[in-house]
Amino acid sequence: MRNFRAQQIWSLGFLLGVAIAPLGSAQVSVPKRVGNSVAGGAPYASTGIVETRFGQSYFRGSGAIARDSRLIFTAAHVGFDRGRWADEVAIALGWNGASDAPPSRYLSMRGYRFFSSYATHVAQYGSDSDEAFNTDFLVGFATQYLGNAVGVRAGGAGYLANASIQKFILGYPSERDFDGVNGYYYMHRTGPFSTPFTPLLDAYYDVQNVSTGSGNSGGPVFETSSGSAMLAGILVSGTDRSAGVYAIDPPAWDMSSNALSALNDVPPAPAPTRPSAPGSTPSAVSDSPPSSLTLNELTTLRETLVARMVQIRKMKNPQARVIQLRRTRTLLMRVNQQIQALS
Amino acid sequence: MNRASDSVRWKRLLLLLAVGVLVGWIFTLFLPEPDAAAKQVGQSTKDSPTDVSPSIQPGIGASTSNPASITPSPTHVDAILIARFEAAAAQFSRGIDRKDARALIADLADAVDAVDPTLAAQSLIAFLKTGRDAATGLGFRVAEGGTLSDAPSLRVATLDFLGRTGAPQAAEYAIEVMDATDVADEYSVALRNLAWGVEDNSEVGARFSDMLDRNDWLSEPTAGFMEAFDVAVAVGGPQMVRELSEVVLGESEIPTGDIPLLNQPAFIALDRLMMRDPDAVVAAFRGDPELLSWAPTQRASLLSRLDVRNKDQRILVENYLLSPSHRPGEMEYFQNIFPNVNGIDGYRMVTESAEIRNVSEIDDATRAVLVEWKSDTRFTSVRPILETITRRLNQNPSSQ
Repeated sequence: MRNFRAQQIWSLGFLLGVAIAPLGSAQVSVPKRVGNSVAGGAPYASTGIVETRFGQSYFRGSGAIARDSRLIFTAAHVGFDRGRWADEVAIALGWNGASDAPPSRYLSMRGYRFFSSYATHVAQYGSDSDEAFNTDFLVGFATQYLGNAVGVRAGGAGYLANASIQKFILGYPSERDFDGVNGYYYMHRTGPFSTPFTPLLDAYYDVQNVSTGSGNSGGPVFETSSGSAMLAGILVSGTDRSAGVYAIDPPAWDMSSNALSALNDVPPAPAPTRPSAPGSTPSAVSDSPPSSLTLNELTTLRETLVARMVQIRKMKNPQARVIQLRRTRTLLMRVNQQIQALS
Repeated sequence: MNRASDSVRWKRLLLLLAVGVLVGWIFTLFLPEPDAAAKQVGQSTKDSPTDVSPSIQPGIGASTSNPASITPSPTHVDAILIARFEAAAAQFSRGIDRKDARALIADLADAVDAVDPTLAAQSLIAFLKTGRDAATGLGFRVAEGGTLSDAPSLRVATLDFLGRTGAPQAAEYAIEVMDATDVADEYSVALRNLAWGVEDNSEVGARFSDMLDRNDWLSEPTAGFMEAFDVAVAVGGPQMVRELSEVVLGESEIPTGDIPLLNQPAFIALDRLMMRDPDAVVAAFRGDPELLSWAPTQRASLLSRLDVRNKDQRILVENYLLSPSHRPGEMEYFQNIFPNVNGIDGYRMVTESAEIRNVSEIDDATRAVLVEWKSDTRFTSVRPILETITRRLNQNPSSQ
């Protein structure tokens, strides 16, 4: 997997026509320019070029206003440089042109957030690693209204992995990976396609025969099961025949909640109950009692778990306490269910 | 007579012993794995004068019908649990893919969860003392609650399970591990277990400092080593500020071309420490105004976190603005991010996020102070900086 490293903006001296996929590309979904008439509507108007500045260096990616009219969702590597925060993160919404949007078109973020483990994973495993892509997510926030926000699937993976759901990707590839065609600053759409994404590591998924391009990083990946486009993931990696996505998950949702909390001075809202995508299978539950236990053994196990909960409640670290209580409670619930079934 | 009687008694005694040995041997045939594990545990405990030879206790899943029988004593271990770890070590040693490795670790976690925490802790320690280990093929990833979702070795995973039991032995054994291990990831999890288990953070802080003394770990930092920086955030105080600053400074001296791996993680920890414990940072800068002066971007970034609503912090900002010792580019960076409300999310080994609340209130207070500074002749030389900050803040007007 090649990382769409945020790239320095180059000046464009000429204008090129519509990107055309080469012969034999029918099986690969490639980015195609979006017409101006379309770019003004949802969800296109909520998608934009994300520009990040580190000193005198400018970097370019894609992103979208999501969940709240003051939040943008994009990829962390768009706004990441070792050892310093970006001087500025801004978005030019709905832009569609041969050259970059004028500065007046860019809306500045007041701040942004990313996962601390992204830095660790980049340092340890490299920016092109599954571990890095698995945390490659960033939320920018503004104190002002930026535009209409698209809806978000807090459990995006279920939708992305579903072969019966149509998906598409928006963004601004500076060059199409598949054939090297220049994307300039035009908004592009890849898809719709129904090819299911497959999990690589937790929130990091990829899909074959779908290709985007550098600069499309951070672009929104929408699913359309409800008839309207809902954000299910963020593009983070790709090759000429595949695309990698950070699927929106509870930690991503929590990050956006924390951003809203910073703006509103209210505690973060809990993640919504994850709706199961049509036809999706429930995720595996690791907290399960050993199978094939006798009633006596289950009863013993229940006693043990109750004792364990007493001990966990005495744990000093609140985080550890909460998670261990949750795990034990889940296990206890399942043991009780098995006991009921056996008796 | 007496001789004959003694001879008979002696023969009976020998016969009894032989029968006993035979019965014992037959018994072991029915419990091959636990017995093997117990032998290994027994061997390992010889090397450890603080431990005694364990008595074998059947765990959950064995034919134990009386809950009272699993009440642990300090010397009890669960042989079946240990045997599962032994088997897992063998399985990892043979080599398995990442998916299977995760499944195997999840199974071990379930097995540990199903045992009384104290018994589990003692059993895990017994396994750790055997010295057995195997690479899992996974990375080092922190998950919810500071637990690990991936561990690079079985021992690291076992130390993680040990901490998760919440048993007091976890913190006690953490000291032993830190005294002996040459593996940074093991040290990291042991340090976390210690931080979880003790009220007094002084030992934790000292152990964190010890970790930074390991040049081999500093030169080739692992993910676990870097994640352990969160312990410094938890401990807090000027000493931890200085420790982390040293890492940032050391990294800034790395020749161009080499990748300063620790720079970002160390700085993130410092930044989070600033958010959780700004007084510690203020105190550290008071004690050493030149702190981080050789890492100007990081210094500017750190001080951009200061909140002018707090009197001490406002004074520190003023002193910083008026300081003559700024490095090239330092103020240009500061003016672009002050007041810094960026956030860092995610799971950490010990601490939770320190949240910034009400950005608009911070911005409004800063705007008011900027007006004061701009009318104060002391700030004439930095007026362009103040204007840039004002202009930037006005791009995001208060939402209130």
